[in-house]
Amino acid sequence: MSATEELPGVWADLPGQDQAVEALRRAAALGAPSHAWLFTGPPGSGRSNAARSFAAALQCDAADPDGRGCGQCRPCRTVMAGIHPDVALIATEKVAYQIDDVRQLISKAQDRPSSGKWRIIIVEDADRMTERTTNVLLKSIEEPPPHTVWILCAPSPADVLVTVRSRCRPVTLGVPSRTAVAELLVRRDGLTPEQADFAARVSQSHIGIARRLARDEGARQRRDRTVRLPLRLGTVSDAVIAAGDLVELSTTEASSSAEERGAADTASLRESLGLEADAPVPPQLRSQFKALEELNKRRAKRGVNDSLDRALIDLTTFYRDVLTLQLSTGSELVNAYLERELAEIAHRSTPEQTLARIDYIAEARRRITANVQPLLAMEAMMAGLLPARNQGEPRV
Amino acid sequence: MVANKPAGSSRSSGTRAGTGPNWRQAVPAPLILLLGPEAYVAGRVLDSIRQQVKERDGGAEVTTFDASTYQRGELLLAASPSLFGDSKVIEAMSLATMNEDFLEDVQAYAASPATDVVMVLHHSGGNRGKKVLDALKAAGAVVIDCQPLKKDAEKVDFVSQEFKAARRRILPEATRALVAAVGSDLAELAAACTQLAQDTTGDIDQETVDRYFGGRVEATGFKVADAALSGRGPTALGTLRHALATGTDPVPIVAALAMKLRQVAKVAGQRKSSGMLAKELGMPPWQVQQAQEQARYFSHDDLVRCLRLVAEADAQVKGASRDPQYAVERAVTGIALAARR
Repeated sequence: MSATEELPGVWADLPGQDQAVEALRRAAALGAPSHAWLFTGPPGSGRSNAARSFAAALQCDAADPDGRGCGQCRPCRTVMAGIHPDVALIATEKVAYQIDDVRQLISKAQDRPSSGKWRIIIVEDADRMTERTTNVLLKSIEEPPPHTVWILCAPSPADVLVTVRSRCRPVTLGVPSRTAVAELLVRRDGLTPEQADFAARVSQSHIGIARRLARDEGARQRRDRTVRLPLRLGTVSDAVIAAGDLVELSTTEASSSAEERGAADTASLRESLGLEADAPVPPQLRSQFKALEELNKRRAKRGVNDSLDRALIDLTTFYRDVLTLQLSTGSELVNAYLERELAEIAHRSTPEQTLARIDYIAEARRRITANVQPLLAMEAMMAGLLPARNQGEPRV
Repeated sequence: MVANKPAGSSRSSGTRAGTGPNWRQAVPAPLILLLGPEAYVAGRVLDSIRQQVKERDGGAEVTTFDASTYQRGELLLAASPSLFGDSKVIEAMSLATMNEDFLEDVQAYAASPATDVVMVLHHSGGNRGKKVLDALKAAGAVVIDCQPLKKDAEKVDFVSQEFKAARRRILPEATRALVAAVGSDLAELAAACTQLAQDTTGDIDQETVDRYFGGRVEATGFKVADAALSGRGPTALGTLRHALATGTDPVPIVAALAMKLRQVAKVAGQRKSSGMLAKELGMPPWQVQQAQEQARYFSHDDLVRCLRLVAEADAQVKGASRDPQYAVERAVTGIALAARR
């Protein structure tokens, strides 16, 4: 199959993954898939989409085994829409899975499929499990009931325990090329080629982010503001204030959406318990509302972390471009529209300084996941990004 | 008036019914309700009531319940008239976690309290049993506030009241020194007052307080941060040791360091007046002034280094290092050395 050929059915929306798709199609055609799969690939390469397509192909009704994953039959359509009763798509909204969530999955894995051929459980972010939680899964992944198929997704095989890795058949997705992503955006989302090309470029071929950037004006502006941050850093005071702005932006964004969700969830819990909107909560039911509040708090925290992480990745692209210019590698700039500003910074600093700054950003990302106060981590990073005082000369 | 500050302002529920009498003047009554989390004050009232009843009637009988483990009928049993006409004191503790049995029995009792029984109830706050509290208040219970003392002025007031009750005189600076030394816990403060009153004669001055409680400092993260940012290294490290030794966790100390350093970094290098900065940065003017003063000790590069140092310390106290105490100490030393006086 050549790269230019249009893929059929459920496989159409996986740009630049021809090798993986070929392997998955063959497995689906044979009709006896391994009991556990591990889909790995960098964020945005379409891991969970690939998992979903594979699930659809396994459940597909097509008469010809090679045509499985037709995209036309009922099982295909319901799986792709995420409403097939035998295909569970699991993702956590918290920072990590809780052990109880996983225990529930395991009992679900014991059920026979109700209408399809297989019971398929797709864990979209298997990297968000602590060691203890993963250990609970081991037995079930190793020897599930005959009709159960586990599909775990993670950025890289190193993100899951070695004991899980060894029990799964690996599927590796690569970073799709910019043109492949742009082509998908034009075809599926109806963007103009220029829009699609810009979005694919600045998102570094992350399909989900590219689509959001192309569609959402606010997201584009936020990204632009983040990328321009280094341009307005002069003194330590600027750095601290910029850090405060960045954290506040992501916090308000995350907490307002979490609050909305929380209010809706509370309302629906009240409804299902038969309580009036303003009736007092009886003591026997209070624990349920407490649990909901707790869940909401975890969701908000995850939201803040995710949005800061996104901002830091965007910021990294700025210094990546600076380094590209400094080393004259000739590869394409991610932020080509800022070329003049980039060139100026490249001229004023050394590659060593740029590398150190990229390290500072990576350190901040690490610290945020290690539970350091986000504001403090960002301040330390911004302070590291400040231009060296004696301009032109590298600091020793 | 120490424990008698206007209550209820911070609570929306109607559990607070304005101010009752000062706890120092509590006298036996059929129903006495102690409201508030300060267990020491509640204990003092209980003692004083018990003593007053016993002075009147040596054979008085004292019964104590824990409202969370109460069993139905116990209250009625304890409150029923005795054959010999002795007076009775019933003490009910932890009403904040009362069980259903207690709730019902007390409500029934409040409707017709026995006149020869003194019943004291302590509720430390919260919404549990609001109905009971309302019933007690409706039945004419004497409500006594047991709010914790938060401000230094309140504690100073408490100390002078204590010495007044002991008919002793304490000088104002001695009072302040005493509060600074042992003021964090009210029970400890009261014990210190008693000790001073018993062990010394004459007026109590600063020297006496220093002899008994010298070298002890109430150390908080903010005091550590202030000393470090003003370049007072020895004080900063001394206060830090005190704070750690008295059980302060390293995490809030680092948070305090970060907060103070942030304020300094915000105003560093700004040439505007403190008033303008205060408006721009959303900080109170006194904070801006203090930060500006401390900012003078630092060069630009020093501040950059300090910010990185504190962030590293935060990562370390949250698990990246095996010795969180050393991590804080390192950050404090680094900042204090960077500040050039």
